[in-house]
Amino acid sequence: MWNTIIVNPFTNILLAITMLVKNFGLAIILFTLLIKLLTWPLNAQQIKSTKAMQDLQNDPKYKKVMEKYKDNKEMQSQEQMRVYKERGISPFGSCLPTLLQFPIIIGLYQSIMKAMASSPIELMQLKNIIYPFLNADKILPIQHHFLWMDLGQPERLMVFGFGIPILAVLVVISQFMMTKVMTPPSAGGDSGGQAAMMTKSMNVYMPLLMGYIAYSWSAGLGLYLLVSNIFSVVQYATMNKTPFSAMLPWIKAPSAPQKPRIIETTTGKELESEDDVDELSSQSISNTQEPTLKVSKPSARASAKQQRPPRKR
Amino acid sequence: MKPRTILLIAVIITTAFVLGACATGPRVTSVAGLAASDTAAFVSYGQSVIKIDTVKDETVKDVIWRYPEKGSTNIIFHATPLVDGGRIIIGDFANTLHGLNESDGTEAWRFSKAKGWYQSQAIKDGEVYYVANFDRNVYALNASDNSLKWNYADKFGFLASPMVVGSKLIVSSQDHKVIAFDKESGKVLWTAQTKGSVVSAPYYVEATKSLIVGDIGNEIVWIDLETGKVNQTFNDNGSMSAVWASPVKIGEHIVITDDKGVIYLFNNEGGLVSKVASAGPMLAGALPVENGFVTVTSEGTLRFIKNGESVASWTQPIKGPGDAKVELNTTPVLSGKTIVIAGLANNHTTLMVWGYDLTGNLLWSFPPEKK
Repeated sequence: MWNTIIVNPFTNILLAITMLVKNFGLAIILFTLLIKLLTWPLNAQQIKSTKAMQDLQNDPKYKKVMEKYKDNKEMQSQEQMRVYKERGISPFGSCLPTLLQFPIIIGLYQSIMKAMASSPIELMQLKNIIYPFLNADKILPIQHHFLWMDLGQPERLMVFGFGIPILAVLVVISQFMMTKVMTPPSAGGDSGGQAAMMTKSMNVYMPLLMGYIAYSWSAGLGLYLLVSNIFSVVQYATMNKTPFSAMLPWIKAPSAPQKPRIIETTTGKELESEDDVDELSSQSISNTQEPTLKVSKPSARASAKQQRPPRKR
Repeated sequence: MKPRTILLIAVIITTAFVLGACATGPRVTSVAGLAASDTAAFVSYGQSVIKIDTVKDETVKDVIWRYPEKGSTNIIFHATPLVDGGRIIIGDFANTLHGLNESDGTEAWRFSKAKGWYQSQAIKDGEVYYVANFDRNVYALNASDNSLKWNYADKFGFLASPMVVGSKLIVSSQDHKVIAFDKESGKVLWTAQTKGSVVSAPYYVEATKSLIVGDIGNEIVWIDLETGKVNQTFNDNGSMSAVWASPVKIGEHIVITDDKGVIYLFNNEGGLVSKVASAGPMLAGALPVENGFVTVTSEGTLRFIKNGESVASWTQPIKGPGDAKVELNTTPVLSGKTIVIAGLANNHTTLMVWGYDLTGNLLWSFPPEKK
C-alpha cells in the first residue's frame, strides 16, 4: 500500500527525471527541489507559525503574563491559550505541516535508495516497479557516479590518499544554518536561560547527527539532505528576510540599532516610560511583527494614537 | 548545565549511536552466496562466511568455521565463494578480496585495491584469479602473490562473474553488453551489445563456438566467440521475462531460466527444444544432477526435472523455522550426492541451509533448531 501510493510513484518520477537529464545525481537534486516546491505551502505555514511563536516568545507583555502566573500553571496555560487565540496562533501550527511532510520525506528517501539498486535482487525489485511507459530496459542500470561521488556508497573525496567527507561537512554546515533559523530564539529569565541552553545544544548536535548520517550512509542520501537543507534555508530567508548573519556565526551581525525614539505626533512629546511604550505597542503589534519595529513606524504610531483614549497630563 | 539540557544531549547522542549502528556498513538487499566441495558447503551471507560439513550423518549441522570469527557490520558478504583447492576465495562489501585457508577459515591473503563491492564469484584460470567488482573494474591477479596483473575500468559496476574460454576472458556488463578481453593483457577484443543489462555469466557452446547469455531486457542472445557478433536472439515471441542466472548445459540441452519461472531448454544450435511451465518466480539457475536438473523458486520450492521431460518429477516445498516462508534465490550446488540449498527466512534476517538427497528427501538443515 505504502509502496504503491508513495514509494513506487516517487521512484518512477525520479527515474523519469534521470532519463531526461541523463544524470542520476542531477535527478536527485531536481527531484528534491520538485518535492520541496510542492510542499512549499506546508513549509511556509510551518515557517509562519514558528515565526509567530518566536515573536510571541519575545513579546514583553506575553513574558510578563507568563511571569505573573508562573506559580499557577492552570492560569498560565489559560492565559497562554487566550493569547494564542487572540493572535490567531495555533500551537500545532508548526508541527502539523512537519507531520504531513513526513510521509513525503520518508518516501523520497526510500525512492532514492530504491533507484540506486546495487545488487541483482535490488535491480530485479526496481525493474518490477518501473511503469511500462518508462521502458525499464533503457533506464537500467542507473549510473551511480556523480561528480567525484559514488551515490550508492558513503562519499569521500580522495586527496593525497586521504578520504575527505566533503558532502558530510556541507550537510553539517547547511543543517547548522537550518537549525539556527528554524529554532526559536530563547527569551530571558530562568526558563529562557534553560531554553537558550537547549537551543544551543540543538544547534550543535543536530548538524553533527545529520553530518554523521551523511558521512556513513550513501552519498545519494547525503546529496538529498544537502539540497533539502539549502532549500529550507533559502525559503526561510526569503519569507522572513532573514540576514545571513543570523544563520552563519562567522558573518558579523550589523550593530544593534539604537532604541527608537517615540514621539507623539500631535504633541511632539517623547514617550519615555516603558509603560507608555508597552501600552502603545500592545495596541499596535500585529501577530507576527516585532513590537519595536511597529511602534517606530509612523503609520503604526498614527493608528495607535487614534485608538488611544485621551491621556491626562 | 540544566537537567533538561543534559536530557536533550543524552537523547541526541543516543539517537546518533542508534542511527550510527544502523548507518555503519553497506546497506543492500542481496542473496546468499553458495559453493561446495565434495564434503563441505561454503555459504556467505551477512557478516560471515561459513563452512558446513555435508557428509557427516547428522540432521542439524554445526559450523566448522566462520570467517571472520567476530562479525562486523562493516564487512558484509554476498558473493559466491570460489573453492580453489585448499583456498576459499571470496570478496566482501568492504572492497576486499580474501584468500582463506579452506581447512580452518583463517585468512591467508587479501587484496584491497578495489574501491567497490564484490558481488560475484572470482574465477581461477591457470595461475591467475579474475574477479569483477562493483567499482566498475575487472581485476586480474597473479595467484602466486595476489599482485595486480591488470585491470579494466568501465562505466558501470559489474555484477556477473567472469569466465574464460581459451585465450579470452568474457565478462557480462550491466551496460547492456558482453566484453571479451585478451586474458593475458586485459586488452578488449570485442564488445557485443545486448538489449538489457547482463548480470550473469554466459555459457560457451563448443559445438557452435558461441556464447549464450540472457539479459534483463527479456532476451537471450547467441554471440560468436571470435567476432562478438550477435548471431541469434530469442524472446519467446515477447513473452519471455528477465534472465538473472547463467545458462547451464544439462545432458544434451542448454537450460536457461527466466524470472517468471519458465525454464527453456535449447539444443546446441540454438533451437528451442522444450519449455517447463513456471512454478513461481525464479532468480536462481538450474543445477545438473543425475538424469536431470533441479531448480528452486523464489517462493521456496525445490523441483527435479528429468532429462527429456517438461514436467517436474518431484517437488518439495521448503520451509524455515516454525514453518516460516523462505526465499530461495541462490542457485543450488552439489556436494557429493547432496543437493545443498541456501535461502533466507524472516525477511532476510535468517540464513538457512538445507541438504537434500537426489530423490528429494531432507537430509539435514542449518540452523533451524539447536541440537
